[in-house]
Amino acid sequence: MEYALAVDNVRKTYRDFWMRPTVHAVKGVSFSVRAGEVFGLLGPNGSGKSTTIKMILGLVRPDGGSISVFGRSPRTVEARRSVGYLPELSYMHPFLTARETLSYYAGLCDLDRKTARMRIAQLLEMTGLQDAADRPVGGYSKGMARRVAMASALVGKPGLLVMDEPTSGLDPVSTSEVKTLVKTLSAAGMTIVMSSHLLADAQDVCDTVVILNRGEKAAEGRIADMGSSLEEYFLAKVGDARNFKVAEFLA
Amino acid sequence: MRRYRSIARAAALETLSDPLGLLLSVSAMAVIVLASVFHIHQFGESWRMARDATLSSILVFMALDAVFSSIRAVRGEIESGTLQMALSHSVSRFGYCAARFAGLFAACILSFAPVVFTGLSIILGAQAGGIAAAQSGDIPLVWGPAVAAASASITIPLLAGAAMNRFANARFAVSATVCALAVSAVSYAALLFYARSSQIAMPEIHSAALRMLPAIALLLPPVAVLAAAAQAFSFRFGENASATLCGVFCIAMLPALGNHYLSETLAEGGSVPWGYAGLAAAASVPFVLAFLAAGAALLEAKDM
Amino acid sequence: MRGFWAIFRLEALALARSKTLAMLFTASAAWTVAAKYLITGDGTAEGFRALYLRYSLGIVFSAVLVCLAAAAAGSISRDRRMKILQLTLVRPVRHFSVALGRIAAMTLSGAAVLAVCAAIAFCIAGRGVQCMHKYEPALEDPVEAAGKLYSQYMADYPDFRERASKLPKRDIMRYLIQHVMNEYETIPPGQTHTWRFPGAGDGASAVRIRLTEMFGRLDAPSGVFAYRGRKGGLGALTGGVATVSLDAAAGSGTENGPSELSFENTGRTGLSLHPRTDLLLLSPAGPQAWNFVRAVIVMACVLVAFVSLGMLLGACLSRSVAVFCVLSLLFVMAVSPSVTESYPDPLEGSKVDRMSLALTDFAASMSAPLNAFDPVSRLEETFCVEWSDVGKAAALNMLLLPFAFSFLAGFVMSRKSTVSL
Repeated sequence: MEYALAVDNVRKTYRDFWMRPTVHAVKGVSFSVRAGEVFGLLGPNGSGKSTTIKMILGLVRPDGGSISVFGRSPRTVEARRSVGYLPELSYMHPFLTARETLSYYAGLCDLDRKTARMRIAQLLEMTGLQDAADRPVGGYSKGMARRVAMASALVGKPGLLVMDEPTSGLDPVSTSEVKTLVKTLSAAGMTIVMSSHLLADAQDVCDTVVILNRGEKAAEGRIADMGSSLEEYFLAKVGDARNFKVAEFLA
Repeated sequence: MRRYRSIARAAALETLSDPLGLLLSVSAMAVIVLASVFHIHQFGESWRMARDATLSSILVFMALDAVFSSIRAVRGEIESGTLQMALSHSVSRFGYCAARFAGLFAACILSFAPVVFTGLSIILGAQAGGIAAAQSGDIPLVWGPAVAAASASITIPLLAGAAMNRFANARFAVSATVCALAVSAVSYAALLFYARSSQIAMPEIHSAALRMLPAIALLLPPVAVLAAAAQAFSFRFGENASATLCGVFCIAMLPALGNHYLSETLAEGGSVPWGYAGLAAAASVPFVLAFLAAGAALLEAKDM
Repeated sequence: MRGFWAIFRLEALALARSKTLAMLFTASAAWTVAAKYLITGDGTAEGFRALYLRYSLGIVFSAVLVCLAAAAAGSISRDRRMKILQLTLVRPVRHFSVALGRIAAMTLSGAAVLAVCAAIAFCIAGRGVQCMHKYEPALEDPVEAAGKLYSQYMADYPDFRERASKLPKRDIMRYLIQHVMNEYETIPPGQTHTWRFPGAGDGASAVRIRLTEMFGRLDAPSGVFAYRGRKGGLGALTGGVATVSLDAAAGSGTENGPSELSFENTGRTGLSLHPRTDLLLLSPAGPQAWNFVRAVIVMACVLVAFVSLGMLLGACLSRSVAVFCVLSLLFVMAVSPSVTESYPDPLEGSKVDRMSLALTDFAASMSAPLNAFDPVSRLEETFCVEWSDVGKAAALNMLLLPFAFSFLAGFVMSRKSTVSL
């Protein structure tokens, strides 16, 4: 079977200046994502989700194991041609307008001028940013900046879209919009990998999830097979909530 | 008062943690040692060279450290949002500016104290070498133990900082700076003791080194004014614009920064009275206060 | 390629909108104009022109070099700190073109500032002036001459042999080369000396001479230069330097060999000069306007080299450390050639001195390709910036260095992202 993304036994340990291990972020994780699937990478904070995503994007070099994106190493230019990335926070050049930002990323995706112009117009319309398209993004609200980031990720029409906490910090309406967008893109054949710790969001949009805990794979399966509540399943796999001693603190 | 003290402490720690300060102070020490050791340019006047190199290095490198550390710290706080966090507590804008400035300036002084000791060691060595050469008729060289002490003040702290970072997870720049202070002070003291026991130390050697102290103190007020100005500019302008404004301000201040007058005074056997240093410090206070007030006003007007 | 252009455009916009470029442009142009009123010169048009160009265009060039090298050093590390760099690195663009696009944008911005200031400087001190090709006399290669001297001294002087056995040959050769370069000729009264200028051809129309030992002379130096039937009398000197025009003298044939310049000392005192450095034959090379254009191209070439270096350091180090390193390197490169030139007899120094000299020499040799063309001083002296020099400068600084540094920066960027993200 053709997999859009195959992660095989990847390991990553962060080291300090003296090459001493500081954090074992990922300890031999394997999973694969079929083309057209919405795949959720779930786990508590510090479970290795972001490191895994960065390795999928070729930003972080794994210490061991292998990753292939449409059959290629993610560190190659060809593999990056088919990948879009939405980071957790909307990092952008504050001095560019939304249109210029999209034009910049269209250039990086090697789109010709005509295609780029057409696609930028479509994306601005899709994200509802036509009226603000010529204002510097430095003055945008968080939601607007998120929409620009989403449009930037989609401008190259990637085969695989990697989203790091796509709904983090968004209001309920924007969250719902993002979820609808994910479903629409998936229906159009795009493969989506999203990391999240918002289980309700994952349950709504994902076909398959893998749950990471302390850098290891705690569980993997289809959402439909995990019972009615993903949260209960998640807590059973990851462990109880931390017992904050609030009363003691307040006393 | 405690809250301002913690702002000052945080600012000082931030400045000391930045490798730029260490880099500048090590460069200043290296310039002093190299300018004095390579005697071939000096026409037998290594003492003058050591003195001029010490005064110039302290002024130039410390001013650079004060300006760039101020700008980077303030812009970093604005960009990372920690400025909003700090101001959301019950601190006045002026108090915040003043505490930040105090912490930063204290850190600059701490960073450059080893440079002062290194300069004094080399000056002592140059004078001792000069006296020895006058007796033997050879080319005057800087006294070997002084060069060794100064070189140790540069290398040992870097190695110690690295070791502290490797084995105790301490911040490299902070531990290297603290170690540099200790090593340079101990080296200077040891040098004095050794010179005395070797019958090399003559009263004028000791007094010549001590005459440098008020001259060095006289360099601090303009650096303080520059640091306050840099802080005020960076509340309103970006890094490049603030640095440019500081550069322009520095050019305007240049006549006041010239230390050659001090050098000449010292060269002619005179000394800069401590009173002058006090007067200079007093004269700089209104400027520093004005820049702190300007910084507070710019901070007040800033939408965060 | 589109990725490169996208990054180029982004950096150009960043420079334009951060107001850095606007400030640099305004300050440079204002200084170029203001220098006209601030510099008085020595009362002569040539004196003013030379001083004006040194302090207007020379300072602007240095300022642009420093500012853009520092900006380049901060560029990648700033994006890395703001986490924007990762968004570029995940796109299908080669990492070296991320550096190359930025280098191109910064260099073009700097070149634009230089071009405008050069245009202003030309209007003030370049119009109506002709620039000259310069030709140096054909003398023995200094290294060969020093080698011969070395062999001769080793054979004839036991003292020298003994001292030489304690020193590295490199140091002795350096001293001997310096000795050869400083060797001067004395032309006694009534005598004629000749020098060969094989490359000068028929067009040479002037001689520029610098005389040494001008102090304590009882009379003004006088004499006649002759080259291919043209003659010129040595007249007034400014600071020991004179430019003598050669005119076709009626009735005089070719007295010297076809490429020989002769000088007859008609004064009452002997004249001394260093022929290797102080005697030049000049031929017209057209108006200064084209010379300014060539000079700006060479300046842009040097700018590319330093911006590329800044970019590489910025990719490797944190922002402040990278800026410090690039500015220190600039300083060392600027200062080291003059230090090695002015270094007195290296054989007299101690071991420490020789070590320092070797270090400074190394820094000077590293920066030699960058310092070789020196466009501003050529404009000052109205010497032609030759197209061949422009070609050499472009080959080294526009092709070799930026690509090499960009590849290294790209490599470091891809490795370093693993640590900093």
